[in-house]
Amino acid sequence: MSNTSIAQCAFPFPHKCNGKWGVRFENQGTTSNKVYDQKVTVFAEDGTVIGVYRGSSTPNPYKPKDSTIKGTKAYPFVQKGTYPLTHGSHRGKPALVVNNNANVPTTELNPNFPEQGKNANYIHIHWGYSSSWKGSAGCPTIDPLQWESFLRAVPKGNGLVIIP
Amino acid sequence: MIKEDKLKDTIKKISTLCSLLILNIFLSASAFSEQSIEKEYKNKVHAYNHAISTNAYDVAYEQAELLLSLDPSDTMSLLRLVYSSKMLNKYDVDVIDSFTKSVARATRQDKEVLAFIKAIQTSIQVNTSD
Repeated sequence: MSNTSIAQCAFPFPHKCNGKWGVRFENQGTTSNKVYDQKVTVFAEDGTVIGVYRGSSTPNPYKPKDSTIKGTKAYPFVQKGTYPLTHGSHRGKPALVVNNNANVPTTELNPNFPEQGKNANYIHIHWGYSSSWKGSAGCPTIDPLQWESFLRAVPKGNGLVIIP
Repeated sequence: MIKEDKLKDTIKKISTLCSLLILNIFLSASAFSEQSIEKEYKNKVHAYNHAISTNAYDVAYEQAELLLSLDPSDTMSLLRLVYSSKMLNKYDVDVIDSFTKSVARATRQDKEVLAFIKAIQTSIQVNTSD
């Protein structure tokens, strides 16, 4: 077992993975929504499905102040994997915290924090800005219309999140 | 004569209300168009600047929060938030710290803006400890 805080867990989750609850983001295009286009499933510790929601594990498509800065040139994208997840706060409101706010690997050099290399920290699962804009600089988001019910569905304690 | 004035006043009020409604419908429709978020960003920057110029710092603070919600990596909008916060004598450490963690530190300008933000924050702390 490595010393890293990133959970070592087989995909797909949970299938009795460490006996923890989980939040799984499916691939893009698994919902009919154009913005929150990934199905998000909340699992209990025993693997039963608690709820299914709409979300996105990727950030805003471009910078609102300059739409020519797009994709991985605009924001970090969390690398595919399974990461620890706990309840915490985002801008003073309840949200979910990925990997205890420590670094998680990103697909490319972090364009906003180049000194961190291919990593991003303070990754939270939070509510989207609106139905048409995620308001994310690297964090996974949930459709704001479903945020309250999503957060209520997530069990207490420590769980895992799967990013596809 | 008084009745006529009242009628004119009512017509004026209805006319203003209609204009606002039309503007609202126009803004809502444009929100769904392509690249509308760029327009929304520009509108909020304009609203922030207007609020600052009229000393409406509470409105400015709200606009800065919205700008950071649109793009949490926007270092300039953190400066907007911290400046309006200083002018309001309202400093929510948790919220501002939370925004500070996500703003970009990629360019020289980002770093210079962050150094200026730190100076404003220090002055707020000095004032509150007096």
